[in-house]
Amino acid sequence: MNKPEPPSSNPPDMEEPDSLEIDRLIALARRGDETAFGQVVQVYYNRVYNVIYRVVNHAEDARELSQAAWVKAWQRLADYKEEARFYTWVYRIAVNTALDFLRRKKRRPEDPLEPVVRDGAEPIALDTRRELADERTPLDDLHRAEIRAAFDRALLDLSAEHRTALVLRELEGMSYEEIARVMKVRTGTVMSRLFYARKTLQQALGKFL
Amino acid sequence: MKKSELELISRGLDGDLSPDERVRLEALRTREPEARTVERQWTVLGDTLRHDQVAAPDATVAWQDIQRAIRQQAGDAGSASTGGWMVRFRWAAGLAVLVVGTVLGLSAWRVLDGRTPVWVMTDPVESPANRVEWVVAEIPGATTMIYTDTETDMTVIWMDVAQNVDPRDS
Repeated sequence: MNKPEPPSSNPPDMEEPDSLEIDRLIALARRGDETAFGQVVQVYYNRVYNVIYRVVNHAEDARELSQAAWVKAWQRLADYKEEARFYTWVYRIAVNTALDFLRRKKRRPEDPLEPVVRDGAEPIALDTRRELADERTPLDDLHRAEIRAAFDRALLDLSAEHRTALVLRELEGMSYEEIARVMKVRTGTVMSRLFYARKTLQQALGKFL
Repeated sequence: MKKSELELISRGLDGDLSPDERVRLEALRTREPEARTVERQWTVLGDTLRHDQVAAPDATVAWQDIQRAIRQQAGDAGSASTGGWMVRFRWAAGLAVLVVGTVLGLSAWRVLDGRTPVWVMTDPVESPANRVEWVVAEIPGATTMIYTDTETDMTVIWMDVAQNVDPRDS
């Protein structure tokens, strides 16, 4: 078997915006230009929302927390050190906002099966073997829904910290160092969280793999 | 499989291996069919997470909401600041009312009591000028005279001492 391609630093379907343009907009925003900040928000909004959604697993909470995270980012722009990558800085705010929310609520994310509209709902990697079939049957759809529900449940059974590390790695393609900066932990902790998360998911989803 | 081998696979998926570790992972894959299975399964899990993304709210609409929230919070912060001044002002106003009320109350009480109100008491009171009516000079043969100098309007005490008398003798 060939070695799998190492994940790129940018996940598919996510174009890295022109960093010089982002720097220019950030500089303007730091001088109080709301319009420039709005452009930055629109560049990163979907990615930040998806990370938060995966951490809290609730669409409305994710929308509100995304908003809160961006408001905090605006208020703390003066604290942003330009040597750090802007998205790492924003993700730190977003992840902390989401984790604080979960700690405050002192609950596990609810409604894992809430009806959310997914982008590109068709492909789901766990279902790849069945995608080879030319025609899908109702049984396939049932199977697909079952897999999705099982995947969501397994993800939610992870602690928020393990889930967040996995989301930042797999969804955002962040390096150990970047995840460590976002989560304010050591890179060794990131490594062991990712290992534990994968192992736990594998055990939970064994029959689908 | 050993935990260290599984960790090696996990780090390999994250592209976090040194050249030596890459060689070790390759040897593990060749030696252990289970290592290949675990690697494939973990890859599938990552792909699933990446491809199973939710549709975020429209970013433009979201920005409008964020902008509103920013302005509202700025407004709240401004109100809180103004509110602080208002609170302090209320304290100052209350203190002033207390002082004025106390003075008026005391004055009314004094008036009712047939005495001069407080504020009237602060007016300068005319007092009679000091007058020197007499002077004692214990000097033998000395005479004294008291008069008002017309130019300076000052009281002058004039004393004549008799000749050939030494004041130190007194």
